[in-house]
Amino acid sequence: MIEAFFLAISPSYLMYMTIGVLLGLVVGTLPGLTATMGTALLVPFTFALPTGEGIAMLGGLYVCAMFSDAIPACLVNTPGTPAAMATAFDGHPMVKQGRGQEAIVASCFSSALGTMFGAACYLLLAWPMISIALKFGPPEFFWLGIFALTIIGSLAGNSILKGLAGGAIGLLISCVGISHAAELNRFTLNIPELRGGVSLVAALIGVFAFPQVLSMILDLRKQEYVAEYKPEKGVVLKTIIKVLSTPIHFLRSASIGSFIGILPGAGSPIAAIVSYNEALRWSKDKSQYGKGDIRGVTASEIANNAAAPAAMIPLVTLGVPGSSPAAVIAGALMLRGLNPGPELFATDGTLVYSFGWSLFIAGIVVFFIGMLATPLLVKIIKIPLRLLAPLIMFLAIIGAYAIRNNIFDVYLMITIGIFVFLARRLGFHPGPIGLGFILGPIIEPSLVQALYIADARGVGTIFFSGTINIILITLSIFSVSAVAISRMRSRKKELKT
Amino acid sequence: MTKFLKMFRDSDFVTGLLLFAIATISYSGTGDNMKDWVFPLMASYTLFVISIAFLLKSALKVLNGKLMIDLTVTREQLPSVINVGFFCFFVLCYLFILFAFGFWVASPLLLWVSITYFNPDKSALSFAKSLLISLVACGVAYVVFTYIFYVPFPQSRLFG
Repeated sequence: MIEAFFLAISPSYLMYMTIGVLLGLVVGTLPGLTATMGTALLVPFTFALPTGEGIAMLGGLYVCAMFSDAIPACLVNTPGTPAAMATAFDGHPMVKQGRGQEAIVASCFSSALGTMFGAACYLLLAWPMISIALKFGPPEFFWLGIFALTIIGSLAGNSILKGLAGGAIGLLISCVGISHAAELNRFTLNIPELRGGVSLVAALIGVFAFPQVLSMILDLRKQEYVAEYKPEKGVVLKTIIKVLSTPIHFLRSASIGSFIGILPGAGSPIAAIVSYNEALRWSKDKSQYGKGDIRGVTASEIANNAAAPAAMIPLVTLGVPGSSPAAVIAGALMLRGLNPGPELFATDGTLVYSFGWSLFIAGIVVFFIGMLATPLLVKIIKIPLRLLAPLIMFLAIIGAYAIRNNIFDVYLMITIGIFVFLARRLGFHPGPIGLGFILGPIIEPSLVQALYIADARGVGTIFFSGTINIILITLSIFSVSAVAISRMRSRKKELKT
Repeated sequence: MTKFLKMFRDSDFVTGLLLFAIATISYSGTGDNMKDWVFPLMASYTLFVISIAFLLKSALKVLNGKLMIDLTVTREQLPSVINVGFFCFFVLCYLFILFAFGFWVASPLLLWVSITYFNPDKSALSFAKSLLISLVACGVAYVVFTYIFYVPFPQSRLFG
């Protein structure tokens, strides 16, 4: 471990990791470019480097992309990657209130803290955590997805029914394509491009970015800019103190992020959503969530960044990547003749631990680079709406196309975007639609697999027994009840006043 | 008849109709194998129930004479709505031009036309500035996506 630390702080490791961080800043900021795509594109460049430096660069890109996706989420309500969806719920309202710098600084610092926590789990707790993760099977993943879905109650705005309907619409969109059981075409309308399903990134751009562009155009006559730019002295220190003054909030979010990160297939988006939901539920004052509460931003960013290093834990312990970027890194290792898994620990433990230390140090580097870039990034809101809206539209089209090099994804993005824009006029919140779409591919395969197992052992035994299942079911019921009771209390208060 | 037409300006009624339509379309597309269709069916049933709730709520409002007309476009909002309509029209034209002339001809055109249209200053200088911004934005994107990310954007199908 000590030897690995000194390796990680060597000039070559630091240099390549920093290059990875800088590239991650670009990748995460541009909607449509994901951390997976960024790491995949970077892999060929790492062949010229020694193994340690190569994967440190990939790790740096991954970690920084999990911070920089918060920048468009906050500034223009368009998550740079799916993991920043929950960040936008409070980050964008903060920008609209003239607190853009506070939002970005909070994202940056939270991301750094989350990354360091996740990397610490990787270095110190890999084996104990993985023994718990091994107990998660299809029914457990199904209930985890259902638990994550209960956040709809918090996102639904004024109408919980519209929130539920939005979630159901998102789930329906995620069903388009080939089914998981008998490989049937579902809702493909005989269009060959739909057999592969709706692209996650194109759909998220359609749900968040395109309606946002149309809303900007609708507001052109009322306001010239997204928000007023109010630079404040001392905002960096004040924000850092605010983030540090809620240690329990930090520990909860980081623990959720790390734990969900090690579950293969769950990933940063679910970690961010569950963390946001828990932060909301345990908060004494819930009134500002969704309206610019800094804790909404920090909960999401701490969790999605803690999930990133944690996703490497199953990779190095079991050889099973915990996320898509981790899968790319696994590929990079295999191309060098190294097999991720227990064997790698035995044959090259220094490499495994130096990677963990690189991720830890990357968290610190992300903070410094983020702080340098923040004053420039926040000035994006000084661009007039009449310029910003067409530019975002342009980037949205590129983003929708770039992920699969398929023009049909652009058509889908525009169609979904127009539908969500009109739905917003009817009082629907885009969050539940995006949430349903992200969680559908996690919940449904788990449900189908669990149903197959249940054919032999009974539905009751599979779905309603086992400690983890019972805990997750209880949490889901508690989550729904808490939202319902909270809404009833708010209604009573409103009626009294 | 007038009351019935007024219902189309009640958001609850329109929401109920929309959700009912989506639920019907998705339900009609389902099949027999339960494992393949359990998920879409659950979502469709949820939408059916919610749509009926909204339609009933709207019907109750009509019966109680408390119909709310909340889907309106005021005279002040009309120019903004027209702007949105025009922008969607530009995007539609862009898709045709993209097919005919390729991505790197269609995109600067979309940017230039949009920025010029929404700019209240219609002088030659502002046209030139808009063109410059469009070309610079497209140029940067071209370099980044073609040479760094190796994304092959659509070429012209008529001249390609």
